[in-house]
Amino acid sequence: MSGVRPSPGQERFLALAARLRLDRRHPEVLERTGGWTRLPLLTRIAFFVLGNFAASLTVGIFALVHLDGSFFLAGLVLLGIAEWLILGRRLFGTGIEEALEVAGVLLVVFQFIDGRGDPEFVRGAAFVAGALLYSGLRLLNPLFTTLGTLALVFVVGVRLGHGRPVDEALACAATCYALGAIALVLGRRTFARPAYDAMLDWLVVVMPVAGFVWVEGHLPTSLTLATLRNTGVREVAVLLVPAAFGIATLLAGLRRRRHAPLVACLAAILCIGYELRNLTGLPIEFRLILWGALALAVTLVLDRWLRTPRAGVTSLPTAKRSTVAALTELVAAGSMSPAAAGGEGKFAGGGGTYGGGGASGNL
Amino acid sequence: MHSLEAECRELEAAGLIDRARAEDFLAVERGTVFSVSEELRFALYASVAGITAGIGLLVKANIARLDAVSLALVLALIAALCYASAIRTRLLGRERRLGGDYVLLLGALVLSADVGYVESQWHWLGANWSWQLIALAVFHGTVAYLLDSRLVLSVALGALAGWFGVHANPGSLLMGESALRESGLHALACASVVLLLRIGHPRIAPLRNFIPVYEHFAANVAFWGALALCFDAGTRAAGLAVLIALTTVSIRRGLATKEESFAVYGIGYGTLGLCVVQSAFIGEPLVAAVFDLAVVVLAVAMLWRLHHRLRDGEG
Repeated sequence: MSGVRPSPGQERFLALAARLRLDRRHPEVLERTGGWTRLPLLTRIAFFVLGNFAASLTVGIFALVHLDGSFFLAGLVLLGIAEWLILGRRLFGTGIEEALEVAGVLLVVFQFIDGRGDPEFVRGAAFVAGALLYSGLRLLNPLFTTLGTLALVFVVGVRLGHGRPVDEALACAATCYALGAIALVLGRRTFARPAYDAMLDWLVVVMPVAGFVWVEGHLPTSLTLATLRNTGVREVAVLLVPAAFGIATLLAGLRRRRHAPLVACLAAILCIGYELRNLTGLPIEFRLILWGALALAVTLVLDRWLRTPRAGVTSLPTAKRSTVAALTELVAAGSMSPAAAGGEGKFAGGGGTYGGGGASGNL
Repeated sequence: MHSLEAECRELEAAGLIDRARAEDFLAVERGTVFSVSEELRFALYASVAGITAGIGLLVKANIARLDAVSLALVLALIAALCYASAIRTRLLGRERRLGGDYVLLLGALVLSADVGYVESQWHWLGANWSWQLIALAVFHGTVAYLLDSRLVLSVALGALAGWFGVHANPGSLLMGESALRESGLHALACASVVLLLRIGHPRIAPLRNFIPVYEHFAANVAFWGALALCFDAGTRAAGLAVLIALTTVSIRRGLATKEESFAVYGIGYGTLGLCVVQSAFIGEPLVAAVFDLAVVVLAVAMLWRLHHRLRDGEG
């Protein structure tokens, strides 16, 4: 297996070298990683974007020369290059081989769907799900496995819903929550490959949110105090399922010392907050201020309380922040600045418009 | 759940990491120490964003109905309380923590909203209302230096960009040509001012870790401006020249500081700019696609080489 992708042992050393920021060309590191190359997140994203751009241009060129089966041929070329980069250059998680591989597999699948003249959208979704899951497992990429799972959930939901949109949405939501719960339970197991943990982590975070969105998209409930008194099972379930998942993920995250379940818990809180948006009957601006102030107060208390580690849990950072995280925070703060959130872009002795925190007189 | 404990011990035994570093890593790996700082940071950001958006909507939706003086005073009081918290921490000689950073950010954003509201009500600056953005940029910048806050400095630079008419909106590249030209020139002017501030920074407060904020902000705004010029037929040549110059400077900066993000900016924006410019000259779609593919392949090769130079100390 070590020729096709890193062995579990090599992958573990790759993960360790990345976390400890070791020189990957050091002989001791090279010996343990088998010469596989992995890139930091920002560079990986850049290569992924460039790879996708290259893939779209390749398929464009094949289409422009009017070759029969241009998707299939372009897909094969891209797959060939991706596999050469993996097997020949030993790239693993660098972005470029990931972009080319997934684009190649998807193009081959698209040609197959097109060639069969299949009008049924759901069958196409099944092929796409298969392509994404194959790419995810081949490259050990959690983004692709999660997208593939979402496509698969859509297929299952449509099959179970028998053409009734509400039933389809409920089936999709139930499947999402079930998969999220299974991923949470499986997360207790010890895996040799860090990538398997990452795949489960992504499912724990994404699937419950997807389930909630599926329900809200077709059955917007928006609970109020009045409806809560006379509510049915469905409305309560929309609230209780994320709440139960939030509690389960919070406990799992703290017990296992894992971040993904805690992120899933934060997402569940956001879902519950959205569901309860009409609870008070107040205008949206007051709701935002009140809920925001409440969340701020709770977080400040937690931050202060955890400055002294409680059973090892602390609000103090234990590692240097990544460049991506630091930049994201600064961009996010800057984007809330007056006039930075968009507008007409006019300049007339200054050019602000109302946005973000709001500072312009152009209200 | 995987544990890299055995591998860490192996590297320690091989002499690749020292004992202290190994122990720190193992404490995290075993869960003896578990930091939730990133989760708290996200919650703080979401809270501040919610409050700020709420205040923005409150002011906007009820502008005619609310008692203007009371609202302005309430907002000023909230901002003052936020600032007071940070000033108190500073006067006590304590280090401001994560939560304190975001309370100060909230203060800066509420003050911005208040100033905008006051101006919309009383029009003290009249036709020159947008100068309040400059005033806010100066005020937030001063506060950032006095209280050592990178988040507030970002708000100050955002206000400055707002005065120049630069928005964080990719759709702005789809504006009409004359608007694009204006937008591009303003972005370059804004980036130049930020760069001047960055040059002056070591003389003002060398101990503040603000240089990355200035540099990343200036780089992105400048590249954005150059791209806008590349989209406009009248300024395409100038835009391309600026883009090439910026790409060169950005890559050199990345190599000098070992900051890979500058290399990514240079290659990413440079590639996009070249593809935009060629679309104006090459009419044949197939030739254009082949040219773009060649540019992208070259970009991948250059970024790969730069990554190796940055990571392996060849630069």
